[in-house]
Amino acid sequence: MIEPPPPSFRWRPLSYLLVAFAVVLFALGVAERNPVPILTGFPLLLAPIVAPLIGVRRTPVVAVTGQVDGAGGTIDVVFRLTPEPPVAPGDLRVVVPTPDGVDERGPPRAALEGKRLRVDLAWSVPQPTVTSVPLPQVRWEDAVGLIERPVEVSGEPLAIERYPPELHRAGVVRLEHTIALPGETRSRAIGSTGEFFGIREATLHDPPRVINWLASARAGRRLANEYALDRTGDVLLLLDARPTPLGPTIDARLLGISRAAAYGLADAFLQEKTRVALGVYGEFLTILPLATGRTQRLRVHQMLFQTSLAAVAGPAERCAVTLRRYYARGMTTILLSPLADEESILLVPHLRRRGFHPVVLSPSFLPLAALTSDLGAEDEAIVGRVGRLLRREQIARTWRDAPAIDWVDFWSLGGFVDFLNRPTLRERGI
Amino acid sequence: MTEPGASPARRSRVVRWPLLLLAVVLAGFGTLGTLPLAESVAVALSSVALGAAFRLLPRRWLPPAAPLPPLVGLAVLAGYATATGVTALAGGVAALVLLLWVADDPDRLPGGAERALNRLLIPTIGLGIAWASAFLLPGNVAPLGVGVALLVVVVVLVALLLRRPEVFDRDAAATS
Repeated sequence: MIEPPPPSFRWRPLSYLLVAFAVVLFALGVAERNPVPILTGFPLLLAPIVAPLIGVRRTPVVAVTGQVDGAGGTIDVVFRLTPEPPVAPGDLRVVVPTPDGVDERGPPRAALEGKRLRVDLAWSVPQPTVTSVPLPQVRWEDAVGLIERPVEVSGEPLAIERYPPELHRAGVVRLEHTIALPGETRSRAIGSTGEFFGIREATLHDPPRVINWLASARAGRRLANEYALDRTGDVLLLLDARPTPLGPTIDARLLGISRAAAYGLADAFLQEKTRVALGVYGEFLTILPLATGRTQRLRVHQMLFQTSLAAVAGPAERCAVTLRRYYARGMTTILLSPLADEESILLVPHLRRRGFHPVVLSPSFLPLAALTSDLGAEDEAIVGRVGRLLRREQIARTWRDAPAIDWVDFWSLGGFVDFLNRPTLRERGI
Repeated sequence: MTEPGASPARRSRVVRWPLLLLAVVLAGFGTLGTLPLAESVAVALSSVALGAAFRLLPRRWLPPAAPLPPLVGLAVLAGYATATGVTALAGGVAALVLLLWVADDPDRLPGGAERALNRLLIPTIGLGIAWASAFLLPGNVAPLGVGVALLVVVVVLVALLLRRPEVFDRDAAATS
């Protein structure tokens, strides 16, 4: 990906300052009939004029590579910038826009690594987040700082993926039957359930029960069993991206958390070769058709990165009606919604009426509201109590139509995954 | 927005050799003028100290204004300078050292002053030629009118160039 730079270079404010002082000194010299101020101002005048002549004469090109490290809420981003000669890496100025939902843990650090410039960024995410880190904005400045030129940057943007680790287990779920023939349909896809198929190298995410310990002991490395997958159904992930009365800041954060959960769920189901569809409902419904495989994973990621809060909230019924045009009824539907207002809660019965059986995962607005509140401790306690009552009532109303999980601890989804794994509980609506 | 360079080690990078050199040269330039010794040294040192203080402050709008105090100090000292060759040379050198100190910005990567040395070569040569022609050539009292006219032409040219930065752009042709 190459970002075209702005068209031209420019003098920095320092150049204007130096020229202004040179003119003042010249005027002083003429007024006093003294050559000393004139000669003093001479270098100040000459430096800005000479700077573009001895500097880089065309748009510099810089190749950017980067990586994202860290665990949990800690994110360490490293960018390495390699300029094409004759540009010196020390003359590059780098600005990295901080993505939404990401906080700075410490000041950025820049250091020279041979002919490369290394930029270390220390970030943290207070809640689960998936977002892309855009390429840094780079400009070239001469050594004195008199002129600057935009730089043509080439490279790929990075991705930050932070979601609860339990979601890795979410893919092994018995799904609702949405396939045309009744009963389970034998699939040729390989997964972690069904008839034994063969042995493969174990991966980091394989649970102990999948590991073939005897084979591993014989081979001296970890091997895992693989099974011919019995595909029973498909999964629809539905994101509610409508604005609520909570305000744009909290709405955006809640959507960010929902996006992270959808990202993790999609990865988990796709890993098990399940077909996954994605719908984002703002004013209108945006859908991604059912599919599986790596291409679908990329499509899901791309769509989630581009998802943002809608300006206008569409009616709940529109979402359910539109969904029915694209997807079969009875499909396992995971709705990610904050359930913060009447319209959000109404979406669940509308989905049921159209034949979908949603499981609602609802990130709670209470922890976020407490973070952004500027009330005193006593008032905050009262508001918190009222908020919890309101939230309990909203969840209880949703339970009449579909199971709803109140997601308060954003870094844990163990309860939700257990719930998905127990179809009897799901059927009974417990 | 995140801009690398503003690290905790910034304070230690404010006091480096270009700052000390600027203080010494500016104080030396001041002593050659008509101001009393104490006042000239005070002007030189206070302007340099103020510039360094601007760089120390974390506020975003003050560090970029750091060159302002030393420039004012230089202009004040130049106003009180006596018209001798040594004083003119000291004034020019003070201006060059000031540029060197400007290049040693703690918000940028270390080694700014060292990288700027070759960039200041042409201003140094220009200063040398101007100083030599003003003080070393016979009949060093040059006609003031010619000098003023040349200065006006230079200032007008600079103004024109500042308004047309594309003059310096030389991008590669699409067919090359």
